[in-house]
Amino acid sequence: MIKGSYWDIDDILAEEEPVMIETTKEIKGAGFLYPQGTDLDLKKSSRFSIPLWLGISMARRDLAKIEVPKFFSDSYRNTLKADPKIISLKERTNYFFEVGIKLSDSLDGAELVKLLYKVFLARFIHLFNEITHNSDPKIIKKLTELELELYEKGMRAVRELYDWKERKFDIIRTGQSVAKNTKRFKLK
Amino acid sequence: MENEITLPESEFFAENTKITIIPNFKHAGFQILSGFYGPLRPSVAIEVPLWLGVFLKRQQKCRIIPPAWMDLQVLKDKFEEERKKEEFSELDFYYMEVSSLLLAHAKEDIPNHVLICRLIQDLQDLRTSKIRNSLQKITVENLYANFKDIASIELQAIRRLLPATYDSIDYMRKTENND
Repeated sequence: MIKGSYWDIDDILAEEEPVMIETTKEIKGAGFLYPQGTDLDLKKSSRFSIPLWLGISMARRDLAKIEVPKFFSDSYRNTLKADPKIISLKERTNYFFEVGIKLSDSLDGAELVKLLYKVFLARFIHLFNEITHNSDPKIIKKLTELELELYEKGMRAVRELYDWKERKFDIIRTGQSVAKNTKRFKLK
Repeated sequence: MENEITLPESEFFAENTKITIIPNFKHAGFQILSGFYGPLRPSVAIEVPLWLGVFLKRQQKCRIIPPAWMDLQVLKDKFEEERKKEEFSELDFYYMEVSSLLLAHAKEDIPNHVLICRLIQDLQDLRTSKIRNSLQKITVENLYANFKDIASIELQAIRRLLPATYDSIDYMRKTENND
């Protein structure tokens, strides 16, 4: 779930998403930001990609303009509106919703957010169906990090119900992360 | 994450519901945390917690009288009602836990236990599909779903999922209003 807190690791990773910006002013001493640039200063209207967190703070200071990423372009939004369920958002970015929220200040704000939670809800309902029907595990290839977390929560409930019905719950089992580690130790 | 209630835990809670047993031995009574149960006399029915009943049953010291809703006809009617209604019908909150405990340990005390076992399973499937159907109707304008009379076992399927989802949607909405 989206926590939006300073220490949230998903929040930090979402801010690593590259965005294209175009500078609106000449920035003294910021030439190092430009890829393969040798100049000391950053020229006006140079286009390049930087991480989201830097892009946002530059946009806030009117130093640059953030370009709308492809996955928030009008044509892609129409695709999203048409059928949000079958689209692989992971292909675009692992943090589709988080990036959208963070960008909403610099782009068209409320409209984008409204679209985001509409898409999120539609995809969640579809996801819930998939979970309860025990269907194709390939679905996880289409999910963003946020949805994947929900998927795992749902699958755990399904597994727990199954285990309970089979009365398997009183067996203490190795945790998933530990099981992986021991395997590696043996290989050595 | 780990402080959420798991199914074995809710089964533990379910074991506190009262059940009627007919003991076949004499005892002054049991003083336990939830109260005093006794005196026990042969062939005199008495109400005890489920776990105590199952414990005695396993030692062949009593006969368990199944709860009123664990009757073939009652369950059949419930099933019909459940099928017609859009909402959940009223059922024991721990119906799945109690019935599975009784069916596991006191099969011979329940008439038609094979059919009852199947009916309860069908009932649970039906109720789970109701959750799915009511979630299907949720829209952004109307995030409300009616889960009145939901039972512990169905709650299990959505306990982790729904709050996280609603929190995320809430978070998105909050940023919308900030603009």
